[in-house]
Amino acid sequence: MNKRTIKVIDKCHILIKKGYSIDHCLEKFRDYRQEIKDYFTTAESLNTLRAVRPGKNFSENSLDLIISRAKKRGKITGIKPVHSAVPVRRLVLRPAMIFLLIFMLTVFSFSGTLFASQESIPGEALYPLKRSFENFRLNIYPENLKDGLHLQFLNTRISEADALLEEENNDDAILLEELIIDIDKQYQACKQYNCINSGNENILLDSIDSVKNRYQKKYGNNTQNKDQNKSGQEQDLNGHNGMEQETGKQNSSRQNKGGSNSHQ
Amino acid sequence: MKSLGKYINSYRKSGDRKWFTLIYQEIMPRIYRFYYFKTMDRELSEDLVSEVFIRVYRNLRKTNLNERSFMVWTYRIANNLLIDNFRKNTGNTEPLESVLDHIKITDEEFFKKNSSLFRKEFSFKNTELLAALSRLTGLQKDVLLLRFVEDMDYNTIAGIFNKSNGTIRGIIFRAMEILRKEMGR
Repeated sequence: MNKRTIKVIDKCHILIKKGYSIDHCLEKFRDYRQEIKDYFTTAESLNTLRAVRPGKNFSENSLDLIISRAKKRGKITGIKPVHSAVPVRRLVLRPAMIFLLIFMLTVFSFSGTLFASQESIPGEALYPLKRSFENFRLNIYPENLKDGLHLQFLNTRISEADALLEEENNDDAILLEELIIDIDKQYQACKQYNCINSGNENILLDSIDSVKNRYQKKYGNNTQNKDQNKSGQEQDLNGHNGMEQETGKQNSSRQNKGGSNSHQ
Repeated sequence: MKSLGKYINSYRKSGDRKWFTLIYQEIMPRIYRFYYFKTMDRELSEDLVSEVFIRVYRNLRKTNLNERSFMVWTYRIANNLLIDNFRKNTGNTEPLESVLDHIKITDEEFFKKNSSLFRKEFSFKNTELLAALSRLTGLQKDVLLLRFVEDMDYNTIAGIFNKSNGTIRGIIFRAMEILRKEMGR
């Protein structure tokens, strides 16, 4: 049977499926009449084999037996079920679920780390993350809400310094020094954003003074030695002196304010 | 056949026996014929059919099959069981492909000897046809029967035998030519 005959027979199959008779097909493809006739006669005789059916007894009673035997059997292995031609679950849902799971894991682990970093103090591994997150918050907050944020950060810095001072570790001197500089910077930022008022100014300045005094008491000697050793390097010392000067200024302004309040 | 997909879906969802009964009534005669034309043995065919449906019953609810893939799945189970049976009885350990092609339990002589038996079941012409069918290879015979007796499309047959659509078409046309010549003798 050549390719052309096969194509004609395929077309006849389509016509018959659409409801046309074999005669219509024979008429349409007259040149292949004999081949088509032979083919469909053979097909028709094959179709008569459909008459073969199982015995009546088997047809009627076998299902109960099959189900009872199936229920009695143990687990069957070795048969892999063939899945649907369009495996939606495998193609779409599964990758989507995996992606969602990875995304959620990443988000949860990051937010967990971020949450844990909020309790960290300078010198700890998570502290840089805490400061980065503070900077990020500063960048995204609207201007009118930044005053509260600066005040919150100032309080955080003071509590961090308190925590460091309570620790009996001499290596914390440098960290504290940097932290005190940060506290001063934060105080200035707070002033800029008007988050310091007559109600909280005294408390804040007291806290800052207390931190500085305790720092002086604890590390005063060490820093003096350092200053002598690093006679040429003024950076830390200058910073510290600057801070003291700043504190002095703050104290005097507070006294003035106190005076004016008492006059009133 | 259109309702088979609905029965499968309903059975998978509910597990209700009435849906499985409908699936069974629709498919069982087809699987029976598949075995019968291979073995020409009623009892063996019925045993094998039971075995196929035990497996279908135990696994169908775990699958995600549509009408076509269900047919492919069921016929693959049937094929594998037949090969197991053939190997068990003959001690043949050939690879699956060649076993499929060589399962020829009957031959022309068998039909001549048992013609009176087959006359009871089919007309005389059908007995001739069966004898002609036995001259085909196992695969050619299976493909022809699925196409013209069970009225299956090329894609489903291709799925059952794990071959391409074009290969199945080629097998069908070659087998039809052999069959026509054999019957015309």
